[in-house]
Amino acid sequence: MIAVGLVLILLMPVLAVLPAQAQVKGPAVDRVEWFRVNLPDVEPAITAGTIDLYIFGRVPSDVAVRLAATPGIRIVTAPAGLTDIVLNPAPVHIIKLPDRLDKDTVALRLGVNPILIRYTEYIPEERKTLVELCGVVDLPRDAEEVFKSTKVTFNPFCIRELRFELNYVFDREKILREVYRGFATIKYTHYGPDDPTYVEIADIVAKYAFTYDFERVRRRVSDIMTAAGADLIGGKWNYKGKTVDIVGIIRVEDERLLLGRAFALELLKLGFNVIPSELEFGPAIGIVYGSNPIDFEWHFYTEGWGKGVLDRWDPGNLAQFGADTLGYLPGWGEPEYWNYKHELTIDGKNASEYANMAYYMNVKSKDEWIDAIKKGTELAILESIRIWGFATHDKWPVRAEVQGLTVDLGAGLRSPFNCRGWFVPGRTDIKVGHLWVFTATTVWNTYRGFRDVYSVDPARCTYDFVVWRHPFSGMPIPFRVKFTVETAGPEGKLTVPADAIWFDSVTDKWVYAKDLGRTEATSKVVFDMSMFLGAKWHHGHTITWADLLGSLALYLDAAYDPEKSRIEREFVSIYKPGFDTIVAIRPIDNNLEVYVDFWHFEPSYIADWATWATATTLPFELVVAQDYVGYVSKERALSLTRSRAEGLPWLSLVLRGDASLIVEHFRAGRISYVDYVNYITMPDGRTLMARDEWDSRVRSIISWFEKTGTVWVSNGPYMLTYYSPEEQKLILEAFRDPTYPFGPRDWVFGEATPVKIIRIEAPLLPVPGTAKVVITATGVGEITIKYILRDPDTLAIVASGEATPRPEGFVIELKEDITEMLLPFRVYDLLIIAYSSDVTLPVETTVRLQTLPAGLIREIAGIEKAVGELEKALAETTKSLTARMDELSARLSGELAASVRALSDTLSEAISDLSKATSESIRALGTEMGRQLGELRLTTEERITGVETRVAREIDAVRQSSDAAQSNARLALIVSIINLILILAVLGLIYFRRS
Amino acid sequence: MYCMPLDRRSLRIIAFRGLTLTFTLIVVVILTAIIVGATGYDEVILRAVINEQVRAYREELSRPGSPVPPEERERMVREYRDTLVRVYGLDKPWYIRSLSNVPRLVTLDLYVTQEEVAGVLGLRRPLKVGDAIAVALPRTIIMITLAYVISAFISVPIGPYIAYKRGSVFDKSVIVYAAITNAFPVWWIAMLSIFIFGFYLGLAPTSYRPIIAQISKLSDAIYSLNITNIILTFKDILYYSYLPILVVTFSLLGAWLYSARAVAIRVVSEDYVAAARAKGLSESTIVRKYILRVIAGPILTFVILGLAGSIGGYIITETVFDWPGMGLLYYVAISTGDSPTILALVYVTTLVYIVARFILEVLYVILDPRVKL
Repeated sequence: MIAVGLVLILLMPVLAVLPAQAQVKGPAVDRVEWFRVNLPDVEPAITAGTIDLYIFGRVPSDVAVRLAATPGIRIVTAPAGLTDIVLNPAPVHIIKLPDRLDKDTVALRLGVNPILIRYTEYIPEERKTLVELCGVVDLPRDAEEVFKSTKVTFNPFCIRELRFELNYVFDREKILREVYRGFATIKYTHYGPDDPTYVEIADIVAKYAFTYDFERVRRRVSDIMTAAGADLIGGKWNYKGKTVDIVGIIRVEDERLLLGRAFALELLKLGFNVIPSELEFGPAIGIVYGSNPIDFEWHFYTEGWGKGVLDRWDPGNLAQFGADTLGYLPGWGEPEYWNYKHELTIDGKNASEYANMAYYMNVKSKDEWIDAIKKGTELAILESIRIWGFATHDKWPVRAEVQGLTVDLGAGLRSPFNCRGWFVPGRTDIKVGHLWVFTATTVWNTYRGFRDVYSVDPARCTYDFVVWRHPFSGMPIPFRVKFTVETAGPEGKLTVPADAIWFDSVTDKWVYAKDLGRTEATSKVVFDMSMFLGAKWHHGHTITWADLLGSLALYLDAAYDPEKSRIEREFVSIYKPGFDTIVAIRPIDNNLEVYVDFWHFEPSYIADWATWATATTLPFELVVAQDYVGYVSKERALSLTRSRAEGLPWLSLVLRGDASLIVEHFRAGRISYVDYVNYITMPDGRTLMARDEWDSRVRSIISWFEKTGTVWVSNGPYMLTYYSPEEQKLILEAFRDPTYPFGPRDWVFGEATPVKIIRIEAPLLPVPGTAKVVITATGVGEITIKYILRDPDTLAIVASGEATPRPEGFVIELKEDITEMLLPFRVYDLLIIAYSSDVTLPVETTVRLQTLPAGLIREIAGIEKAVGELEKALAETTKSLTARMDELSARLSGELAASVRALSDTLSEAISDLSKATSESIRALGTEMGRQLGELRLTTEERITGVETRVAREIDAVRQSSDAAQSNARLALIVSIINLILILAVLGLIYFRRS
Repeated sequence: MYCMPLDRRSLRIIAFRGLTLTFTLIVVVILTAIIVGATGYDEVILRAVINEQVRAYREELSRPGSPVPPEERERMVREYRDTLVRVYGLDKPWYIRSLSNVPRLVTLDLYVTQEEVAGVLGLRRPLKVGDAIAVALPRTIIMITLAYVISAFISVPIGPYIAYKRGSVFDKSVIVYAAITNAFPVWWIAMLSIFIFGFYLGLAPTSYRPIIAQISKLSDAIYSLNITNIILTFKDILYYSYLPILVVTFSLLGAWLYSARAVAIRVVSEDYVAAARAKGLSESTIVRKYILRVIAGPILTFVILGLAGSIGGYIITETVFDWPGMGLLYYVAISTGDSPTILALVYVTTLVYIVARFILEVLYVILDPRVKL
């Protein structure tokens, strides 16, 4: 009884806590202190426990290595940055020649090697051919000079073939080891193992797995330079009497300093006169991006880039780094500068054309999309404007006791999932360090704010998303909604229902979409908004359709209203293209149907695009307030562009000055319900928010400002309760309203479990013939294994494909049509790339496959069969010998036992008889004592002699039978040994023959 | 101390010196404007900044799947670029862009052009350079100038005494101390101090940013004459500033002591000091009347110019303490090509120097009759 009572007492706290824990809403901690920690202070700050984690990922590698070795600290990493060397491919001489001429004809006309000609283009209106040359040339009389550099006479990086060769002097392995200390992943082009899209184009990348080979480069560069007309004098290349100078702009702030120096050294060894210039960000970008490439202020530059979220189908890397889609090729899209034009095409299209196809979804299928990415990437590799180096790993130091983290494979610790789940056992708060909390571009407004990580990172903890990217797969996933997608795309259309609505910015009213001629759309996405509607904003008011539709109407008005669109042009240019694709919306029950002219081969991407029609971050009254100060009173700019152009402060709802301005307008009634009620009035005349509700909300906003100093009110797991730009500090407090839909563990993904390759069974490859490679792999989700069969010497791809999942594992069948392309007696690389639907970043491994002629393999198979048979025969012989020996042994033992038994019986009998005779003699002696004493002795002796004779005979008989048995056993043994020797001899013969 | 009355000749000399110094100020500012503008320094950086912003804008416009036709997108990009060119003043030639700023410098009626410059101070644009300097200057004064003042207060009376006691243990100690502080850069001592006193001993703050809020609070409290708040915020300021002030003072003091000693040591060995000693005058009298009076001029020059120079700030030390003052403002303005801020900073620091020089000139005229000769 006492024991039961004790157990109950012990269990009481647990029983009390369990239901509470089950119901707890909001994040895992009650309070987050978020403040600035400068980079040099990170190490002591995290070691001393001043911060629990550091959310700015650019901690230097050496600090990360030290921290990783510090007990109680761990380093979370993710491939969140990119490093490359961009080359200046500008020509030094540009001329025009009459008529339409091709490269070779131009070369003949100018008397130069065609390699010196970078680019030619016929200009029909002038009937001339524009020629870009990599070195200055003597002009024929009919040539028109467009440009001639006064600074240099020759630019080696203008020659495509030479640029390509430089891939082989970038010692990626060494830099990875010695500079990045392992905190990077090697990349050969803009897509690498750090991108999920890479798995689709790995066969292209595999062709260009560049390894360091200085001798190759020296030889080829020498050939190219000589062909171009340069001379190597005293170890330095000269062209028309001038040394060939290379100005290298090397950034000094991070590992790029050593990387740039290493590259400069290789160029120096190749005979170029390298002039390195080690600069910080400002001066460096001033030279590289602020000067015309043909001014030759630079020849190479160590570029660095940041990456955003993981994206399963990402055309961005090709568009940004290999094409001019986004203006990132030398010349930077500046109309006043010389701009790079592509030199190569595949199937008549250049890299930018392929990039545009994929980027703007001008494709009809997934296969076409992948094909465009593949071809564009291959062209970019061949043109080598960028020598790719690494996906650099951002490094986030975290104290070991911090739990509930999600290591996003793209955003790392910056993923918004983290602040929802992070906690330290035994504590209700957490301390987060960031490089900055406030900068002059750290702006919290929902029109054109949130342009830097310092605003985005904490703000994402205060509001929930409609759709977000999965941290391990990069696929769009529903966050605070559920969605379904229906599409008739890419070419079909769906009918928009008659009661679907749209905001008409001309009449400033919600109207039926059909009245605006919006009757059909490519796709339809239905968002279930139940988790928003009915839940609470941080100031305690319920989220209603007025918030969702009223805010959307205001944003649409800002994009389409003729007057507003002139005021905030930046907002218009960014938002209008998105809004243009939304045909209509239909709020029905708790669902928001969005009709959209957008197609993607992945339906979830359509849902992601349809979020243009959702506005869930702020309550209606705060979107109204932004509209008022931006467009009506015009006291604040909503965008940086307008702020600059008009000299207005850029509105930030978390700054006391701006919040105070808004509150004053609310207090004075200048931001009024009447002026904005049209944004929440439906076509049927229903008003979604009553005047009383508006007034109550305004009072709550004023009260919120008085309490926190900000007017940032949202719906996410944390409330922003303190923000100080001077202190560089903000405080987030948990929002634990029971209507909030998520609990502390709902968005904790932990760490990804990538696919693990357990075993690869690789046979000999018959040439020609069929072979089967069996791979055993484990992972979460549906596993895909792709393979690439490659010649390791030429890097030529022989075959690629996907392994078939079968009971025995993932099977790669290399059929005769593949193996007949292989050479016998060679080794081939089989690259295996494995990923899963849940973790899309691939795992790569390479196995080497030996090829042999099919006949030889058959012969080997025959020998193997013969050996097998011999082995079988040997086993049987051994078995029978063993049985025989056992039998012989048993028989011998039996015979011996019988002989001994017989001898024993005889002996016993003889002894018994002797005893009997003796006793009789004694007895006779006793009775006839004295009378027959002599006779008695004689009789006794005779009898004893007889017994002895019989015993000796019996013993002889036993010995003879025993000898016979031993002789048989010896014979069997000799036979066995001879058999064994014979078998060994046969095996030896087989072995020597195989060898 | 012997003082000459300010006669007409003295006034003329002072006025001439004043005019010369004013001319120097104007020349310095114009030269700076020419250097920044004519060399294309600011233009190169501004163009790069524009290019960066235009590229980012194009990227936003070109969201995957965007239906905007390429020509429309390019038109928008062009328009955006033109706006930025106009905003940064790159549509005007350098001499108009740079030199037109010079007259407005008198009232510091110029605007910071780069977000980074405003951001480093915890402010945002639009921001007058005058306001930027008004924010940065008190911070530098609290950390650097105050340390200079303390160093001067300690070294001016002690330096001559050490010189007088030349060869003593104290003298040798000061020489060693001066050598040590000269060898270690102040920012390194700062880092070491933060690690030891902040992170490990917990005796000092590890983050010094809050000082900025405290300075603002103090000015609000003074403005509203709230004595309690003044005392409380002063206490907080003291908490956040004692380590930086101590570190800078510790680093400066060696050099100051050594310099004061060096100035005095020549005088100590003069015959008239020996004569005074032979006359049996007390040591304090000798130091006060025969040494201090003579070295007052050079020491005063040293102190005043030092104080004037201190407002330029210490870039690295300010970075280490995360204490954005004049040094960081200078650095960010130069690295971002913010020519109005560069000009204003040059103007202010030169002006302070010139004022200090002018005060010295006046003092020289008053104190030293030889100046008039």
